[in-house]
Amino acid sequence: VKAGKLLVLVLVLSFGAAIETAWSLREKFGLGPLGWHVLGGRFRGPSFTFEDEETHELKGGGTVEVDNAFGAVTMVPGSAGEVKVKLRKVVYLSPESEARQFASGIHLYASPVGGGLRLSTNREEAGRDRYVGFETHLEIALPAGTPVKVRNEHGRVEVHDVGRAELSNSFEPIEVKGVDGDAVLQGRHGNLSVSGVRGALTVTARHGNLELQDVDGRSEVQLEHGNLKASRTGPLLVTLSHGDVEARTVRGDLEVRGEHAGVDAEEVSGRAQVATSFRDVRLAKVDGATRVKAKHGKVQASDVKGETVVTSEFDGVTLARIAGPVDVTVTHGGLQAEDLAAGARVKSSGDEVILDRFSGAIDVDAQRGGVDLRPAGALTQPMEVKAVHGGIRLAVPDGSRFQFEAAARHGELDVNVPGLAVMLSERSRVTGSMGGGGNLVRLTTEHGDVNVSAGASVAAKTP
Amino acid sequence: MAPRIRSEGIVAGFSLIGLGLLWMLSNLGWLDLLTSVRRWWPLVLVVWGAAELLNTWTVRNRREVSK
Repeated sequence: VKAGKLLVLVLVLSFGAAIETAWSLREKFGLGPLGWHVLGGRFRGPSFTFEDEETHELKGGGTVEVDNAFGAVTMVPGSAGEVKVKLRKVVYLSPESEARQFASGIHLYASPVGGGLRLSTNREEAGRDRYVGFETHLEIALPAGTPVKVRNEHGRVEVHDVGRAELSNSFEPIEVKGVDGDAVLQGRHGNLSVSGVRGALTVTARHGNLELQDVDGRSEVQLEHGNLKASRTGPLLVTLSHGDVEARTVRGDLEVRGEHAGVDAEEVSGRAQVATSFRDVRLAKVDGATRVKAKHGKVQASDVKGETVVTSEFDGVTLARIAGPVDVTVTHGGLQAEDLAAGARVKSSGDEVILDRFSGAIDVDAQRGGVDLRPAGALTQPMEVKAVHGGIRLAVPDGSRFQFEAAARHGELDVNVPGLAVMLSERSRVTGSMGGGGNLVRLTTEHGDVNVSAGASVAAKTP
Repeated sequence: MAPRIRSEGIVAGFSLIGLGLLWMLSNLGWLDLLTSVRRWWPLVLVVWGAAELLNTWTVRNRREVSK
């Protein structure tokens, strides 16, 4: 046997012996947690539950404040003028007699503060002398519409039908149903669920998902590493990183400032403004103006009634049924659009520009990629299309009236429209007029062909 | 000729990976490090023994083929 092997064997056995010794010491002499341990932020192991109940007067209708840790806080509507508190103590200690003795030292503190009530426990003192795991759950019944303030850690917070809510929690979820006034929530490492808030809502959350429903006032959300799902809200401002936003029925403006954040919003009665990166953006049924700034993600917008301005880098843009004017700048991507009712200004590089069933004035500047244009009806508005590395194809419907100029410096010109009166026809340039003339339609390409042909008129669909 | 496997190298590698994983899970609060290491450390001897056996058989087979 080689010396190296012997050395490794001695090391392994020494390591095993050390571990066995440490474990024995812990078991025999109580060094460290015995009957319980913490797993995922919760105590585990054999436990016994004990309960205390107290009732306190609430004369002034002031705020009920709660401070707790390692235990849930539940607030439900109760009788008028009083606060009923049930303290449930879960002690991780065996046998039951020892657990009971330990639990007898855990108390509820209730002190009146400015017409309200402050509730807490003596858990810090109770756990100071002895290393025992225990939870303090507070079940509180209080008059409906009471303002509340809760600070908790490692325990779920659940609040129903209160006046105003200021809640903070870590490592467990917060659930709020029914707040008459404003609500302010702070959460870390736990999901948050909020519904039925009549006032404004402010949420700051990290490492957890947020679900909002039926919020009448303005909502301001700051979220990191979590997803937001919002439905039937008032104006919504979201600052989000590393997560996705799904919003349905926003009554007011929607603004999303995102990083590594996807956005999927539908039915926005106000304006929609989105800036994000590395995920896709989808906006549908927006009544106001829409502004999107995206990097490394697809942009889709449909059924927009207002002006639509999109700036996209490193991915394409898709638009459908846009009633207002369109302004798209896309770098390293293309544009595919249909049913544009009020014209478009497009600057693109990297892929094709396809405009199908459009009305209004058109201005396209395409650096790398062709341009395909199929108007919704007779062409009467000005059109300026420039392409550098790509062809231009235009379908001209019946009844069109315009002055015409086309040039293909290093390509071919194919102009075949019945009724187009050609005034000048050279190898790389054609001019003329259609229907007696009108606004100028100018198509110019450097390295590509220009193809102009007669096309059927298709009515644009408006949102 | 395929290189000979050093069984103590395999043992050391697996042990470090295992210890690192347990330590990390303990830091994340998912398990108790001491209890887990105490439960699983004999596995090091089992893996080492298996590697030694495999090595012996490989060497024997190689000798028979060369004869």
